[in-house]
Amino acid sequence: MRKLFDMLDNPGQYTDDEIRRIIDSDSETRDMYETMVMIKRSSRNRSRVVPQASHRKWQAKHVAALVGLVSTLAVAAVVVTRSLHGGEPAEVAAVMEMNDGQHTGTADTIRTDTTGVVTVTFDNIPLTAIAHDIAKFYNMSLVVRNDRADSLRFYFVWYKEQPLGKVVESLNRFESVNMIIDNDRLIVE
Amino acid sequence: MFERKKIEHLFRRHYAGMKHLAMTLVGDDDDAEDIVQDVFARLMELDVMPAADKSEAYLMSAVRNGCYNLMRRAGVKEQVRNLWPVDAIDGGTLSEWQDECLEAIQMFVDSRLTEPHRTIFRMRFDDDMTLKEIAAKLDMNINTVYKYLVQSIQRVRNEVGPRKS
Repeated sequence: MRKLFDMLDNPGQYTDDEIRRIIDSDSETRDMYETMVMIKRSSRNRSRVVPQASHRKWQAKHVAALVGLVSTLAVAAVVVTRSLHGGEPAEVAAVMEMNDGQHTGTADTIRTDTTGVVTVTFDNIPLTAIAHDIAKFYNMSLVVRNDRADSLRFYFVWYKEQPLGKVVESLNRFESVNMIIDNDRLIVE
Repeated sequence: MFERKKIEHLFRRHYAGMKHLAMTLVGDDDDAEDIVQDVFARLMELDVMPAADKSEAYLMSAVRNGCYNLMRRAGVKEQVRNLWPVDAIDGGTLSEWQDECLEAIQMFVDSRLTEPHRTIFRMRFDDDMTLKEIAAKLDMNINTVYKYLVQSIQRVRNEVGPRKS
């Protein structure tokens, strides 16, 4: 087992075959390496992603005929991930909406960490308002079938780089929340 | 070729999740970006589009395949440097880890590992430090660092890993 760790710290000192033999030496070592693979993935999963200037990379790589389309899409993606309302900076727009007097709870806060990734914290915000913002961001139409949704308030941190399914899964962990994705509709049951 | 609007809709809806998945698997921002871009580029050339309720699953699968292709093309040394799965090693149970295990691993580390195990663990996996570097930083014997790290990894596997039948 110690050999595995020595190899991982200095892979350049081993041949490819030696590396394979070390990992495959017994089931315990294989399991250890496999677990380290999953732990490393979980560490990366914890870090948040910055949507970079995608169009620049794409332009360098692909044919010119398609550049215009993907450039527009990449810019649109950056706009979508950083803005909730009509191109305004998310930090301003969402706080303004949450402070429009309709929500008596603490206004939500939007944080952009040093890498530029955005989280939105809903603090004591009605479920309908949370669902509205999330549906809009993911280009879904919202259907509210629960007449209590406006009176149910939650504390929820929304990681905007997550896919919608994951966000809905997180929300459904709350008791009395049952949200469903149905094609391009987000339904609050 | 697809209508531009359909591709744009898919891009808006799924780009962030796809990029996050690619980053989780390969760890490099440029590689992850290339993989996601290639998925959309190929999609633009297709004649048939996945059904709306299956588009996320399709795109995420395409990202996974792109990531595994990248890993396979890399040499063994690069695979272990990045803690990627290593080719041609049979008998692994990687696919048996539950989908939720990534969050579960971090929750376990945050709530159940005590010091100095947790600090050593974070230094190894978050900061990619070697045993020697960790030992020097913490002023500890390298064998102690090794012992604590192995204990932590084994605990993660026992708590969160595949269940034995």
